[in-house]
Amino acid sequence: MGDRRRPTWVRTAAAITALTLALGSWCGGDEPALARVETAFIYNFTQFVEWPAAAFPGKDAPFVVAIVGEDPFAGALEQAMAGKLASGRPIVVRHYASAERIEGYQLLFVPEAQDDAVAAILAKAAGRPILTVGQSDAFMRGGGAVRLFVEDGHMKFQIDPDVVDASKLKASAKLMKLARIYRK
Amino acid sequence: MYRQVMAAATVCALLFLQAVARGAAGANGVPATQPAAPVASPAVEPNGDDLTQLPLEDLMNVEVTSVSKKMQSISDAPAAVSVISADDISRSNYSTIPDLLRLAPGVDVAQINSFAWGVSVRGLNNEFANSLLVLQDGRSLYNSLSGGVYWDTVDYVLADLDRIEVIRGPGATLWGANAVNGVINIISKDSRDTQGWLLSLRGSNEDSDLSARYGGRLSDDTTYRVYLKAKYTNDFDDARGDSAGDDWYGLRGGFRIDKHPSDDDTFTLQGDLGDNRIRQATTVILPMAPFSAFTTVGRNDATSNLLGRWDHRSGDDSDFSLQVYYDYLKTDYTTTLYDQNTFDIDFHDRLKLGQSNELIWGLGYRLVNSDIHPTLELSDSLPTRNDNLFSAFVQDTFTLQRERWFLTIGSKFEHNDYTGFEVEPSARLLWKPDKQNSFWAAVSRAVSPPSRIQNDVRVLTLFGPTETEIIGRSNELSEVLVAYELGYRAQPAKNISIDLTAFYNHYDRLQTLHAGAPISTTPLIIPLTWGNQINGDTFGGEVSATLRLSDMWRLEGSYSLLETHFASPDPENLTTAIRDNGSAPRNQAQIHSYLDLTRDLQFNAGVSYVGRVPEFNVPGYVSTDLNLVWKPKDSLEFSAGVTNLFDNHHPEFGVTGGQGVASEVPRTFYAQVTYNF
Repeated sequence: MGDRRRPTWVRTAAAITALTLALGSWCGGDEPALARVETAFIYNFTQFVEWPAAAFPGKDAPFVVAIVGEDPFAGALEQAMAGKLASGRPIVVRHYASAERIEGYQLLFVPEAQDDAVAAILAKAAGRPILTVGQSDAFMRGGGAVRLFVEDGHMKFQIDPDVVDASKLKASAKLMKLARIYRK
Repeated sequence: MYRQVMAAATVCALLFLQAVARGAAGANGVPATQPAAPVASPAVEPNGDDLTQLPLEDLMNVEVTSVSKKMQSISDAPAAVSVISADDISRSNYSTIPDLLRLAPGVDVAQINSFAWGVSVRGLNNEFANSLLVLQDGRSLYNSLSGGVYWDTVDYVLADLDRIEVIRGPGATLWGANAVNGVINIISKDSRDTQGWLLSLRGSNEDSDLSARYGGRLSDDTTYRVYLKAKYTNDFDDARGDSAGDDWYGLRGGFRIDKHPSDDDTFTLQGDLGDNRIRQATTVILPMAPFSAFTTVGRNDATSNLLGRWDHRSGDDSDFSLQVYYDYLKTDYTTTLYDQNTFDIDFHDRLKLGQSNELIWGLGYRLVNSDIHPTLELSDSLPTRNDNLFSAFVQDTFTLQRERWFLTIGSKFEHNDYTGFEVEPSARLLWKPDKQNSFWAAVSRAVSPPSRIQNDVRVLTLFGPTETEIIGRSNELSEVLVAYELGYRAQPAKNISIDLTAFYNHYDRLQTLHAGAPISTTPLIIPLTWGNQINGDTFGGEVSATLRLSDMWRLEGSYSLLETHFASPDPENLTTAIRDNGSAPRNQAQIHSYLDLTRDLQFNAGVSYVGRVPEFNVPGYVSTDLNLVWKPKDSLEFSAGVTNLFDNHHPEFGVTGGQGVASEVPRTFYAQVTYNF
């Protein structure tokens, strides 16, 4: 019985292999890009953190997400935020070359490439109702609030509760439960 | 066979249609419209690709290791490595750890009966396969009485497993004795990643289990979890379809505490207790005529362990780990009453020396205290033994040319109380001509020292109509392997990865048994003495490939070939080889499809072929496994499926002694619900 099975099996396997290879080259699919996952996390932070009313310059002011330096998401952040609300306000994304001139934002994303300038950037946001989100150890050591990182193939995040408290923001219990707690 | 092929073809056709629907909808980055899937869920937003609509918990489960990244890290290893991820585990039909190992390429998993498995890589399979090293969270699961692993005692809350790493080929330079044909690392999640309640209930026609886990926080930087798992496995059928009478209950519980005082330090303390109550069929030797009886006896396998570990990272390329554990294992049935206490301490350190050297070194000590409570069948003139194992290793990776050529050379040095001093060196060369391709080659030496049964134990057993007395000998030697391996990994396109390996293994001093003049005539008892009389060669290879057809659909396939040529023992000396040429299948192949029908519904399918096992005259078989996993809410998961769809039951292996009798692996329909809160 075992001997008669093999040829049929081999043919089937060959057929399946040929089919899947043909499919693969035809579909040309792609894995969920890192940027899309990261930006989805950033969106979630806008939903699970509570900003005080005083964080916004006016009643009709939008919710501003600022990025310092070169955009590591290649436009994915705008795509993720398009048409969405945070604190009941439309979300807009603004890009700044450096920290000096940015004003009136509620969430600040600091890419890893800004590690050299991280102290200066975070100094601008310190103690104000701004959620800082970064990618590096240096960012957390410098007083960042939330860090996104990849571990064992999954995106995870750290939160420094002292920094969040000092910013007068409130992170939801659910967010804190899923987060790694970071203490300096 | 025709039915299997048709079913496989139908499944493929369905998957194909799915892909067409998804491929067409998702092309050019245009937001996918409602997919033309037969199972369309109203929960799918018009913008189905929008990850922001995923619950945060699910988002944390999205696999972000793209094929390229995974390849990058694995392609740095000049060895045949594969990983069974938490996602693979949650999408699988299997409810036991040995069965999950079927998912890895080149692993030969042969279930013997409801509670015993033979698991091996690249041949030499046996119910006590002693050439595969198995570790659970850094703790060796080897039983030093007969070698191998009592797989019924290896369990966990499967949702709390992080991954299972499978290394094919020798790993003795780092892991030491018994890492001859492969190494398996079963790794559980950090307790900070298992916070809250998890309740899981599984039911099937063959097994059912209930798991409860709670994870909490002791302080800002310290988390813990505790768990309890109860399971029942029905008796399997024998070849005639009658009950093999091998049902069993298992109960286990445990905890894990992790403290992260800084980003660079992790302290882990964990422990487990397990107790299995098994019915097993056994031949019992009787002191008078008819001298033996076949009967069903109760068996108790118990385990416990406590482990502490400190991991410290002192930089990007340097870290150390200090681990201490205690492990207890007991197996108790009419003919065998054995327990062992293991105490182990292990330290290893990795550091960068200059620009081009990365050094790993380590030291270890293990004490195994084992007790044989004498029975008529199994006894030892010295019931209690204390065996010491001292070990040290050093391995250096030289960068011969930056980002291109790497040479890894190292050796383990061990001293054990059975065979004395053992050296297990290896040399590995890695060439990465570009980011998409890597080639590696390795030569390594590894040993399997004799287990206690070969050394000083007297076993009285029935061998056909004759009783035999198997006598250990104190000068039994280690089996020695010299392995030559070649590997190639490639990522020809962004969504395809391929892994090829070839090996040639030469074994020396393989175990044999030598018959002597009868020591009794009524009953006839023939003495058998252990020896190391034969040599042998195996060669073969493994091919595996991953294909991501889209965000929603991944295919994984593998094929492995094994040719075994062990020398024939000398019949004049009445020699029997323990290693059988036919203990493992020549061919194995499998293909798995992981498809997300909608955001909360997965359809997973697998077809695997395992060739004939000549030693036990077990025919080859094809197993088709299907399941659906539905996650209606963040916290709730239902899954249901069938394993071994086209087959009532089939045998996979046989028994050579000790683990009851062989029975047949049945078709299994299962349903499972998991609730997280």
